[in-house]
This record gives sequence, structure tokens and C-alpha cells, in this order.
Amino acid sequence: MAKRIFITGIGVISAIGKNTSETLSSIKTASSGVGEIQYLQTVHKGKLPLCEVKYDNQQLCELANIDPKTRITRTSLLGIIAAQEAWRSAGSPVLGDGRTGVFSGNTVGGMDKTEHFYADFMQDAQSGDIKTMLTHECAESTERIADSLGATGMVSTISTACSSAANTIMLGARMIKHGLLDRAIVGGVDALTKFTVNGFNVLQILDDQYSQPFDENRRGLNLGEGAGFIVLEAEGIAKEEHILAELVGYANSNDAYHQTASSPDGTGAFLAMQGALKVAEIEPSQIDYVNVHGTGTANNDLSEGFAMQRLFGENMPKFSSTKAFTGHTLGASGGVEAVLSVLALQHKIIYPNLRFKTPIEALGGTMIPETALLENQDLTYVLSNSFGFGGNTSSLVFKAYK
Amino acid sequence: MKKNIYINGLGNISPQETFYKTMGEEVVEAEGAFFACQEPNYKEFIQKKLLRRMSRIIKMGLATAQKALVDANHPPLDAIISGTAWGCVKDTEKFLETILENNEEYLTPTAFVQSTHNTVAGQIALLHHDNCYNMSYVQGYVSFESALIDAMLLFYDNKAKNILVNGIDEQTEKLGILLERLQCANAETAVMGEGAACLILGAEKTPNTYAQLAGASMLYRPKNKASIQQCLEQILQEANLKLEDIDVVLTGNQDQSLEMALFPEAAFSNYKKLCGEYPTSTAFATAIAAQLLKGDSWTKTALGINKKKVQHLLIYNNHQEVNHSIIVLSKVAQ
Amino acid sequence: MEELIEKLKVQIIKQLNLEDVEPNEIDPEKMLFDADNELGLDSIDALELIVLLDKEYGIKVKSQEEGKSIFQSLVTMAEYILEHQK
Repeated sequence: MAKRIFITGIGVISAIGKNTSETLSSIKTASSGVGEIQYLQTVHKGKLPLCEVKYDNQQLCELANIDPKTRITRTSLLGIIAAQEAWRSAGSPVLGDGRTGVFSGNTVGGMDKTEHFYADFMQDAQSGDIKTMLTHECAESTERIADSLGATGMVSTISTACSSAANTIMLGARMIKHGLLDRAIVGGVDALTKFTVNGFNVLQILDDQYSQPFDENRRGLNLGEGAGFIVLEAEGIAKEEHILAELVGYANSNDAYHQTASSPDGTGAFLAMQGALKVAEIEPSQIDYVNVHGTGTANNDLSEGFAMQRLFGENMPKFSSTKAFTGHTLGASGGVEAVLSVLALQHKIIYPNLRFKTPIEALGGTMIPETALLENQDLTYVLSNSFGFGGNTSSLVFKAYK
Repeated sequence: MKKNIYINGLGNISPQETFYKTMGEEVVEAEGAFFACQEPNYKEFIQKKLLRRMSRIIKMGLATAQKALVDANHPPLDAIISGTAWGCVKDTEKFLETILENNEEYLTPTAFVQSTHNTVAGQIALLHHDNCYNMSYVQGYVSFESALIDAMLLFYDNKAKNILVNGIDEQTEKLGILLERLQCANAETAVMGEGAACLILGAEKTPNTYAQLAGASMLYRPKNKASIQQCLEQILQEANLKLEDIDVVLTGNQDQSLEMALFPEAAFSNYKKLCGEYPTSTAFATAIAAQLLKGDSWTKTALGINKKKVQHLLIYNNHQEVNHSIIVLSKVAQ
Repeated sequence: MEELIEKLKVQIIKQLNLEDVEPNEIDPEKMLFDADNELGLDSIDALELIVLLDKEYGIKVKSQEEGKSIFQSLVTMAEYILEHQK
């Protein structure tokens, strides 16, 4: 009999708060994290809004309890803060026995530091603080997180663009199922960089106003930054008092349509959702809420909407995109939204899809997300979607622990 | 539950002549601190109109995937899993340089789009219209091992019959400068390499089967040598093997005291003399080990192994006492 | 106009990295993004052409939708440039 996988800890930092309680209160007061650029040094300041974590690196060092003189990337700092919160909320288990895995996802690793170094390097190949490059690789922040927790089990990093964190959650669950680990700290992190902001900008999928996911008049996405981690523990290892929810379904698929765009019929998204339901052994009608990928780009929302119509038919569950609050946190988004999914189950709430006005006509005008905070909801199953470049599509199913 | 897993197809681009042949008749040696791949004529494998956009690593990744699939007689894939530490370095450099040179203007979308670490795995899916599980691991020197372990879990889950797994990393001129400044690359002591090696793993033996993948494991900051030994013993035990069953050890390490002490009877060879040092070099080692177990004498010669009978082989790489990788392969009776 | 079209051919080959294409092989009247066009261009190429217009001619194209009509053929592209160049 396969072991059940429980979620015993959650931690998050994003534009709407430095921990879960701030995040929850921002959502309850409908306070979005999007705003004018304050921290990132870019020519787009004043023109493109972003969802920045509202602390500079020095302040993040204080939050992470790290000497500000340390050579450390913003990516690692955000990751450590969220992973530490998740670990504490799981009752601070001892992690040094080799039975705890640390799996994290990100897209550009320590690029926030690399791009500073590279400016010097381009002037003169022998200049710049070369040790910066030791913090460049995607794996570096994961190892810093593992070290900050003292974990010595399996450590690995996934980079599948914007579904990275969702995929680490799936990996952790599968490792535990097979008895390779008792516990895993899983999620993802990404810091805003000039590299990503300019990349998305040149693809013309950024909104120069505040984004409107799933709206007929959506113009694109707002980029965000942050980290979200959850602690998974095997049945028998998890302590009853720390169990917040259960992870029951997960699947990954590939859209195999285009390097950056989603297929018009949402094949990958459909297969991921269907696969996750199959692992959870539930029917589509049992899903009570979908935390959609919902970036706010013309392409994603249409494709995801089609896939949902195909899966749910007439019985569309309640759904919303929380990216209007947090922005699209890229490699972190699956982690941030996993935390939000667990919070939804714990607090019996459904999040508003901020700024939604008009349903998408091409979806029949019937796909209307929740626009106000719903409380006292009887939620059992929550589905969370994360899709990324390279056609990568992942879905997770969380179940209330009652 | 645990299952037999076979290596049924191979594609290997390396500094040696491993793409068109199993191994070149003459071993190529590195000149200076870098060891570059011998690349095939990509036009044989990739459509011209697609080729124009691809950086070297994407071409290497796709050509080796194609070669491995043909070699394995085109099984339908249930998963595509990539391991790469450095990712698409050239496209990343190109996009970063234009941002800095042009002050965030006139940027090229192609470089950005192809800079993501999952480009190769995504492109393989795209070329073969394959909607299956698609994953990319970027865990430094155990990126390939992460991919292998993921694949093994999929087999154990009965979720897969055939899986493509690769280990790919490219060198660039700029990366070379950085590695020299970081004192990672050095003509005398540390020749940096690159490569793309692709395996088709299958749950069933085929007439083309090279070897059995008997086990794989990775360790992060093990406390001491005893914990490495414990891990080695455990992985062998799970494969119903004892320490003395290992006939050949392919090591990536300069200090070989640990493996020498554990496997006194085994033949040793440092595979990095053939491919140089790079994060997914164990993928190269796995590919040539599979060739060796299938009886390829050129590979044996290139590795300098005299042992007649090779039944079980172990690959061990220890990167700076942080990331340890262990892979065990066994000969398959045809 | 002729001269501009010839110049555009060279610039497009460079921007889109059309390695094996000679300028005289591009038909100025032919639909650039048509499925049967042997150049095999796609939406990422369209974005590259938007960058080309910005970089070489100082013309900003705000969306891919707008790009669609401009990049129908080399002729429409040249006409657009002549009309919008400062």
C-alpha cells in the first residue's frame, strides 16, 4: 500500500508579504503587490510595473539571519527565508539523518549577481569579482537552502521554466512514496533580474499596466519574485498536530507545440490536469477550486481555459488566478501557489481574481473567475496549475486534512 | 517496486570519436586547458530551417537524442529527462551581453527563448510531438544522476517502458575564461571538457541492449568516508551484488584512495582523460561503460582496461566532497 | 524602394540567421510567414523582425498583431518603413 504524503509546513515570501500570515492578510484586504519598480536597476523603471519583494538585499539578509557581508544572491536569500519558515511551521524537525530531501526549482539561478559581474567582465575579461560566478548556477541556491537547514539527504534542482517548483513538489512526493526519503522540503524561488524582465519584454507578453488574468481585455503579465516552499512528510513520520493538508495528485506533461507559446487547444495543460486527477483517483467534479496558472497573457489564459472546459465540461469549478496579487514569480510560482492552495484548504477560503471585468469571448463568455474573497467554503480538493516554456505543464492536487 | 532497467540505445558526442563509432581507434588528447567535442554533421539529423537558430548545445542534445532513438529502434517514449548544470550557456551569454551593450534595447528574443535550461528536453518533445513527462535537472555535478534516479522511479512506478535520459553541457570561450579565473580549468591539472550523451532506457531487454542499469545514487555533503562506503554497499546490495563483484571502476577522481581500498581486485580507469572535466561527465562515462559491457574492444583499449571478463562496472565521481555520484552497470547475457 | 528591399533581404538573413539563404532567393512579393514559404518563419522570427525595425530604422512596433500586416511580404515591410521612417 502506497504511503500517504502529508504537508506539514509552509513558507512563502513574495510581493504581498514576507511570510504566510502577511500573505494571507494582503489577500484578505485585496492588496496587490504590483507597483512601480523600486529595487531592480533597469531602464524600465517607471514604465513597467513589477511585483517586487519590498526589501533590498541588506534587509533580506536580516530577515534570513545572514551576515550582510556574505556573498549571497537575492535568489538564495528569498529561498532561505521561505524554506526556513516552512521548516519552522513543520515543528523544526531534525534534518541531518540523510532521510530529508531538499528539492528546489528556479529559472535563472544567481543571475541577479551575474548581471552585475558581467558588466565589469565585458569591459575587461580579467575584472569583476570572479567569485560571484560561483553563485551563478541554478543549483547554488538549493544548496544554500539545504545548508541553512542542515539537511544532508538528496539535494536537487529542477529548471523547467515556470513549472519548476511544481515539479519539485512532484519529485519529493514520488521519492517519499518509494521510501527513498521520509521527508522533503520542496518548492521554488526566483529573484527579478534584468535578464528575465527584458526577456519577457522582448517577447511582448508583459503588461505595462496592472495585469488582468482571464479577462477579455488582458494585455500580458506582470513579473514578480519570491519563494514558496512546503514540507512533505510520509504517513507515519508526520506528526498529527503539524498536518495541514495532503498532497494526493501530481502530473507533468508536455504541450509539444511551440518553444514559448501554448497550443490553442491546451493539450499539455489538459493532460497534466487529467494526469493529476488520475493519480489522486478522483473525478473532475470533485475539484472544489482551481488555482489556475492564469498569467494574464492572451495565449496562456485562452489555452488554459480551453483545457479546463475540456476537462470539466459543464461543471466548471470555482477558479481564480492569484498572479494578480503576486505577479508571475516564474520558477517560484508553483511553490507560492502550493502554499496558497494549502492556505485555502486550511482557512476554507477562495481567492479573488483581482481586476477581472469581462469574460473571454473565445471561451464562450462563461469562464468567470471568483472576484471576491469567499469564506467558509467547504473545500476538499484544490487543483493548482503551473505551465512553462518548452511546453512544460504540471498540475498538483491538494486535499483538506479533516 | 524495483525492476530491471536496460540501456537499449546510445548517442554520444564527446571529445572522442564517439558519435559515428563506438570509440575512435586513436585516443584524442586535450591540448591546453580545454577539450572540445568532435561534432557530427548536424544536417543529417536536424532540419535546416530549425538548425539556423540552435546554439551548439541544442544541436548536440538533439543529434544525440536522434541517434539514440534510431539505435534503440524508435521505441515510443514515456519520458524525456535531461541533466545539465550549465544549461544553454551561449544563448545566455548572448542575451546578457546585448542587454548590457545596448542598455536593454534591441534585444533578440531567440537568445532569451533558447537560454532556458529545459530548451533541449522541450525541443526533443517538440520535434517528436511527444506529450510525455518532460523534466530537466540542473543540480551541478549530479544533474545527470538526478535525471537517472527520476527515470528509475518512473520505471518502478510502472509509469514507463522507455525513457530518454541525457547529460549535456557545453563550453564557450567566455565560460572558459571564467573557469580559468576560478582556477577550475588548468592545462596541467584540470582539463575542462564538454559533451552530450543520451541513453534510451527500457524496461525490456532488446537485441540491441548494451547493459543493465543496476543502480544509481547521489550523496550531498556526506559526513565522512564511512557514509560514502555505506551508500556504496547499499546500492550494491540492492542490486544483489557484493563489493568484490565489481570488475571495473571508472572513476572521475584524482584522489582514488577510497575506491581503491574498497575494490582492490577491480581494474581502474579515470574516464576523464577521454572527456575532460564537466558537470555531466558521468553521462559520458555511463555511455562508454555501456559500450564496454556490450563487448566493444576500442572502448576497453581507450580506457586502458586489460581485464578479460567484465561483468559488473561501477562509476564513481566525487565533486569537491560536496556532490558524490555512484552508478552501477551490469553485463547482459544476449 | 528596390534598394531598400535589397538592403532588407541582407538584414533579414542576418537577423534571422538564415545561414544557407542567398538574398536573391527571397521573393519580395511572397508571403513571408506563409506555411509554404520555404524560409519556414514563425512567431519568434516575427519578434526578431520587430527588433530589426527598431534597431535599424528606429520604428517601434507595439504588438505582434500590428506586425502581422507589416511583415506580409518584403514589399509591405519596405512600404511601412518608407512611411514611418523619420
